[in-house]
Amino acid sequence: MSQLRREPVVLLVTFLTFGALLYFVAYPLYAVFRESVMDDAGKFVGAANYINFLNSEYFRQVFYNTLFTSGVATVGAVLIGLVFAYGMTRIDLPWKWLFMITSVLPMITPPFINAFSLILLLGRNGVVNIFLEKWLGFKFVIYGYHGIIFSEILTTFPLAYLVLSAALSGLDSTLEDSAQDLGARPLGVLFTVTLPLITPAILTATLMVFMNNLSAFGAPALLGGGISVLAVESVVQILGVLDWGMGTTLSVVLLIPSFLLFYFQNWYRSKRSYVTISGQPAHTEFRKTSWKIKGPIFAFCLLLSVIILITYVIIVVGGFSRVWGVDSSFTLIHYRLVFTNTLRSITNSLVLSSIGALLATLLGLLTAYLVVRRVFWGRRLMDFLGTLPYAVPGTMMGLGFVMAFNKAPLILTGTAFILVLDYCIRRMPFGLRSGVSTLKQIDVAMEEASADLGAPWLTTFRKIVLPLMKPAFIAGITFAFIRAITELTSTIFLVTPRWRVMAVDIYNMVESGALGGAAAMSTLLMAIVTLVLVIIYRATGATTSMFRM
Amino acid sequence: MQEKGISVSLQHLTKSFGKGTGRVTAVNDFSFDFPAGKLTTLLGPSGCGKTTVLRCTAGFYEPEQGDIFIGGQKINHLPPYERPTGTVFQHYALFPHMTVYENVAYGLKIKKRSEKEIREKVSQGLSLLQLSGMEGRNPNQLSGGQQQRVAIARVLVTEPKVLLFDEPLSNLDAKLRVYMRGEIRALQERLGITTIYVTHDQEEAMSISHSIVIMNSGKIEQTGTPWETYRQPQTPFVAEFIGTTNFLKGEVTQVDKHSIKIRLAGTEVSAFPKVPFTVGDKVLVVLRPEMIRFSGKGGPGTLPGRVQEVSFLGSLARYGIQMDNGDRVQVDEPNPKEFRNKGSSVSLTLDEEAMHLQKIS
Repeated sequence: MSQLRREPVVLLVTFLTFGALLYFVAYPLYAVFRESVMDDAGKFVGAANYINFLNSEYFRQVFYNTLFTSGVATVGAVLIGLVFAYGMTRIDLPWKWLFMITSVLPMITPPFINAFSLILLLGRNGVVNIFLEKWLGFKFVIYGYHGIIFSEILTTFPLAYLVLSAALSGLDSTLEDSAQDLGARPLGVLFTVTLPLITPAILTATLMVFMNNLSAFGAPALLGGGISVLAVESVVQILGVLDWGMGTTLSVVLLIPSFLLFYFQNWYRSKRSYVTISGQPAHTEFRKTSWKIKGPIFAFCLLLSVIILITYVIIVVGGFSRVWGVDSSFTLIHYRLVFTNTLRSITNSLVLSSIGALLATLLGLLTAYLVVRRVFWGRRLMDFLGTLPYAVPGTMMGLGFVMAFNKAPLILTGTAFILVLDYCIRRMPFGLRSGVSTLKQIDVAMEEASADLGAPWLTTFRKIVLPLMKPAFIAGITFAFIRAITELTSTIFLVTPRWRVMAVDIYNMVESGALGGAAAMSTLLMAIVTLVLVIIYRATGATTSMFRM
Repeated sequence: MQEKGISVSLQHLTKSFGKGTGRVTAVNDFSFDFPAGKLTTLLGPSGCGKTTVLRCTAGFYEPEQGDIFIGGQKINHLPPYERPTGTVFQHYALFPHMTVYENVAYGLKIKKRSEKEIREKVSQGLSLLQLSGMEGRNPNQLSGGQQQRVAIARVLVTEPKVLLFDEPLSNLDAKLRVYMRGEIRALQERLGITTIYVTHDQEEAMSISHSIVIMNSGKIEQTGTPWETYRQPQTPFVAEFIGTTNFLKGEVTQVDKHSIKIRLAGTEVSAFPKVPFTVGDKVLVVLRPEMIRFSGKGGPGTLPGRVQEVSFLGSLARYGIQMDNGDRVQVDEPNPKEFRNKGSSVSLTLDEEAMHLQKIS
């Protein structure tokens, strides 16, 4: 690694990036902390809010609910992801193309839309419930713990699936061949060789899914019924009860387990001891598996896929039904309203998400470059700050932005800028991580050659480094855009009547019972996301890699 | 102790990969009876199908056509864990999450042997491969050669009837390779297990095999002992693949009872072919570099030429000679007493009894 500290441009860029990260990442978080230790009058009260939290039986219950629902959902998601991954990588299942689609669909659609569709199916006026009541005389209402858990499982198992299938595909297949050669039957191979070898991936998947579920807002908000979780409760406290002290306190409490998981994930990644000896993985043909094993796995994947497909189809159908659960005649009225009343939200979402995604990726890649290629005091800190937003629950980040930027020197609340900022900061960690891993694979000798031939740093960065990071750039910006436009947990704090976005509009419509409109808008949102993905896929050909962080 | 080895026979084995226009036939109608209790090598360049044949025998691939017999029994339908074969993989495939002991004990554990028996067999196996004391180590703490030996021990303790080696030495450095192949050969001779060995290194094949099967593009080019394949290559491919070869084109001018005369490179030489020739036949003379000698004087039966390049390889001097008629030959002179410089004129004599002739149709 060359230290060309004599270049003032680099110094300036480093300084600016550092400053940006401190001001836009660290400061908002600090603002939330600070608010949680003050009372309504602005006086410092120490841990008073936290003590209230611990003393309150209600809040303690909320805390347990959070851990319970996300914990159970995580176990379920990882198990399902494992079955899917094993089926897709080791067994000659029929209809793999179907499972491939249904395992990726939940990743590109907002999780709260899944919750919404469960309401359409199993809510009080849900389609399934109408039939159940007619034929069997009872309803199976989805609100409550089971609803939250079911929805979270459906929306996060794809993450586990991607991580685990990558690990399984990357395993040197001769290890499993060798086990069979020594006499182990397929199930024995699975338990004595395959699973132990992908234990790191299982752990990573569990940590990632757990973090995801812990800070979930949409599903618990829509399906919780009487049950509340920390993310939802902090929103209620701020937007409903207007108790900022309690709201921020709950956010901070949620940060603790999330941060612990994040820390553990990093520590574990650096500790990993056994790496499978690489070399070309031998060509493993799928040996025909007996239907004794193949059958149940196929049935399971098929059942899950059908459920997932139904949840999406029902939303499309809902957008065309007059009044859900009551009058199912075909109508275009909802779409008409969407394109007249909420047209602003649509354009806002498109424009702001695009800008935010672009900034997020640029900032992420720039930071990645500085962290990998430069040596300077605070490099580790910069890396940490750049990745930190990933560990912070969305609600806390949103709150932080509101509190940090509603006063001097920079007032952004109520503007579009704060939305762009939110998208940028929350999506930057992905750009940073993918930039880091891409850069580590690019030989620094190329930059040295460029400098040797006379190019100043900025030229080298523009002409050599950026073009070589194109794959990371494209993956980063696509992923950032999709996550930004489907974002709810932090955006819910940042919208104003002038600056609304699609995700929040959908949520509000569901909450107020305008199910038809919500369905129409959801369908539109999914269509936009699918279109973006298709365009990118056509242009580059690489898609799945962008979902791994 | 010598066990009588078991026979392995492959009949009309055919295996393809891929679909549509990308379909590749890796092995095409391969039939061979592997001599019982001996080490047979499948030798050939990358892509010739030798590894595919091995993996079909082990049970990792299902052939489209053909039958596999072990000990006279057809085993096509058996999965790998039911076949009496043991495979040593190219990259060893040691389980990284187990110690050396656990790796070697793996196959025995599956057979549900008693703890005592397992411990005995594992320590026997380890000492056979000079690995005693390594039981507690992890594979990544071992050198390449040690990993290789653990892989072999792991297979041997399960007492397979057929041993399969998939290019086991290609990851080791040169000196270690030579040492290990000697060890493998000694082991095989001592245990007498029917062994099929795959490699692309012809020197390795020659040094350890009882018989060699040379493969090219999915088919067998020639089978025979190392001696036969070296000295009597039946096709240009075999001649070139094993060792270095010179090819000289000639024409038969005279046929006698036990010898013939051939005109080549501007002179006439005698030859002692194993098959009959007639006058006028075009022949390809296959000559190894060590079968050509420098003659002090010229004269009938010697080939005149000029030294184009010379390199000293320690035990021999290697010359590239341009013949007067345009042919180029490589001449290896062992224990060279003097150097012949570039450009100097030389006369070559051929070892007529060692010459191998192929008819050119």
